[in-house]
Amino acid sequence: MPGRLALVVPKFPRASETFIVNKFLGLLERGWDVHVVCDRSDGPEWRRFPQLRAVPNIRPRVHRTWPHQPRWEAAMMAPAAFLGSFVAAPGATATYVSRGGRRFGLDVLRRLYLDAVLVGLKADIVHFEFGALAAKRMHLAQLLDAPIVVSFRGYDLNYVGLDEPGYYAEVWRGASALHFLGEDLWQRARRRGCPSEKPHFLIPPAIDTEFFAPGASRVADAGRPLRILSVGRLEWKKGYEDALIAVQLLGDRGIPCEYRIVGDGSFLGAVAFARHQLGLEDVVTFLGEADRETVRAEMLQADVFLHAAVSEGFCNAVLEAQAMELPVVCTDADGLRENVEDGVTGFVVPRRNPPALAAALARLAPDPARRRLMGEAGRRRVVSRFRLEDQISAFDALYRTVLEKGPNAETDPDVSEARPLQAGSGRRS
Amino acid sequence: MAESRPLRLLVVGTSWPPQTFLGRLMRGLAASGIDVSLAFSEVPDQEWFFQSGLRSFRTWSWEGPKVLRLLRLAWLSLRAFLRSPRDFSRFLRQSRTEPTLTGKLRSFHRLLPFAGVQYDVLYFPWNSVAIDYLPLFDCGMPVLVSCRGSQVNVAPHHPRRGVRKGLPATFARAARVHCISEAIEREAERFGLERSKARVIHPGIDPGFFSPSPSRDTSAALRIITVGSFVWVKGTTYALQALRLLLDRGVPVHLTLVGDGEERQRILYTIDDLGLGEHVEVAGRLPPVDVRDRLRNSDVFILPSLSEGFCNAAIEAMACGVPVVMTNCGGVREGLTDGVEGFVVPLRDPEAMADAVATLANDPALRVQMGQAGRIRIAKDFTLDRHVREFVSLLDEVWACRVA
Repeated sequence: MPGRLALVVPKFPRASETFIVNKFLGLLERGWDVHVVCDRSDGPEWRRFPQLRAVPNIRPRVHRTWPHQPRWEAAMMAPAAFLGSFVAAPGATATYVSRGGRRFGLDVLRRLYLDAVLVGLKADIVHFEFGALAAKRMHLAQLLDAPIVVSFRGYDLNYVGLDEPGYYAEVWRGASALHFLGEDLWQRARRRGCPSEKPHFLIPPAIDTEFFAPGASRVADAGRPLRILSVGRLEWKKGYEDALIAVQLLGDRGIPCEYRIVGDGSFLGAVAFARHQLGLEDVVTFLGEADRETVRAEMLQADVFLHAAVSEGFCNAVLEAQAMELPVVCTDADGLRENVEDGVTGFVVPRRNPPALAAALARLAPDPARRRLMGEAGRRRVVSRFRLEDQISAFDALYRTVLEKGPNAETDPDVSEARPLQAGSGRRS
Repeated sequence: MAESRPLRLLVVGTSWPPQTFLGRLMRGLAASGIDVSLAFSEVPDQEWFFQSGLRSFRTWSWEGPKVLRLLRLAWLSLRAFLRSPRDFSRFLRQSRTEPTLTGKLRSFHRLLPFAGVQYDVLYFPWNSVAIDYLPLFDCGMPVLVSCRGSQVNVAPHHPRRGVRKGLPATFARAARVHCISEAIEREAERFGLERSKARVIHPGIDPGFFSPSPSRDTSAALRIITVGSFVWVKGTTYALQALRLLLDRGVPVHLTLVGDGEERQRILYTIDDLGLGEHVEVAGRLPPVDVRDRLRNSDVFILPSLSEGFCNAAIEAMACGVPVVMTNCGGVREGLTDGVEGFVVPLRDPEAMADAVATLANDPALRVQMGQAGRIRIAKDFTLDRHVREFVSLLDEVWACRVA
């Protein structure tokens, strides 16, 4: 067994974070002793993942942290948390308390309560799957004596701590390795102060290309309206208002279309209002959140995949659409430029520009042959570059490298003579 | 008729501190001899009440430790039962219609403090809140409800909110419904408001307070300002896009955003993404005096909203002699004629907004002329005095509706 991994996420499992589930299962298969540490985990979400429940003894690998709120409840739970961590890992707990005591004084008890699950796990590597989770917890590198890996997926770098300079300074200093979904995010991290020699891996997201396969060839019915599909949470950054304006412009050009949106979120009110205000009630359908079978079925029925994002880490749904041989019309937001090959697997247009989106859709609307060609090119691209198998191998290699180098990335900036790992040890260099 | 005694008014559904415009209205009503009580769940600032001539009516927030909540629920139930068994059972019946247990308890907890309470008029400044208090409409007090904007314009289009069902119920049972614009009234009629019950009273501000500055600073860049919460319905990102277009065309501009809210992150991101850092100031929420000072030193006020019932910020700007560029977003159009006090541009159209601002940027004389026209318009139609006067007579009208 190569070693014990602790993946830290806010909630597990989660429909919008299927990639964590895939990674978890993939690494288990490669023999890693994988554990997930999360704040929340609930039944309805588990039911969405039959592949997860099919694995024997999976539940003991998912650990919930002790409750943070309300405070009085946390205070009541504290003795149990301390006892639990001490029984599971007496040595590690003692190390944590003695080193932490020197650094934080009595506050070490509060921290031990919050970290108790991680201390008890005695993981060989702790991986924060979102940079924002790691920001205030880099003391763990020293107190747990384990290397720390941190992933940056977009949100963390685009929004979190923007008005707090040095927000990620501790992470740049303390992490043993960083993981980015793509070049664009690495450049953003550099702009936010990450030293260029920091060991980092570019591993793009990946999808299950066997599941997301078109199977029988798509039936193109020349007579019917253009079927446009979007899949993604309803949030401002996904640019749905621009997408709706584009669809309205398409109608103005006399191109009949239907637009279906899979996803739910806090921006539903705004998107629904835009639909009403733009007079698109008959054209646009909200399908709500959906499992991957439904997503695949919707993709089979669609002619074009539309993603109007203003900001986007990479976007798995766009990969899935390409795997399903759907041509993609998307914006140039962040990682999307690396995701879709402009003019080959779809069209990439400037963000916040509904007329440009409409123009791209209008090019595809009358041309089923071109849609098919772009769709096929999309599948080829995804299968050759964004396969789940390859992604798991890349993570496997990342963890092995980190383990070889041993724990303790220097917490002291002066000693940070970290040997730069080859950037792009993932497949896309 | 005991018209000689002051009208006793209970206002339900304001948050603490009350929105600036509501505070002004309430103080105005109190100054006109109405005995105003405001229901608050937080412990409000007694000094503010004393100075304003208002009373407070204590209710309780649902937040807080569960144990306390249950104890309070027991105590409130007992008190309510002793005060008015009829109200108690009325509230109980209503609360039982909630789908979840927490919903039932919460609704009951919300209603209980009002058992046995009698005022001359019950006033809900927000229709969306009135929906939560439907049983109070049956307690023998005539009810006045205000339609101010998003509850009628926006909320009913949300697929999962119950507003579409709740609105007609409040319209049917209210004695009168106050609409802050004719546009809102038309919209409300679609949800069952009878015209005979509707009364349009436009908002008002104090033009003595919001007045042009005797001396303006000058600036090389055109100083644009907008005042409003950071919520999607305000369309702030469209203003940022317009700013980008203006800069790209070589028009020197600077934008001040006064406000704060849940979309702060979206706005900061958009400023960063469009490279506007040097051209935008995010000033946060400001007290009225500071808002006025900012307005006085601005050249153009823009309102990029997607929907508005009315917009006090826009009439405050007009009162300060600032020309306004606004989207065609609803009732606030009733306060501005396109081409006279400013310009009206299409919704969601940064190009058109940039065009209008550029016209003003290139023509200082037009700015002065439109600013003066705006000031005159406000002094004529949108003063706080008129607003309060019309509200007092509406309250008298509602009082006269009581069950004899």
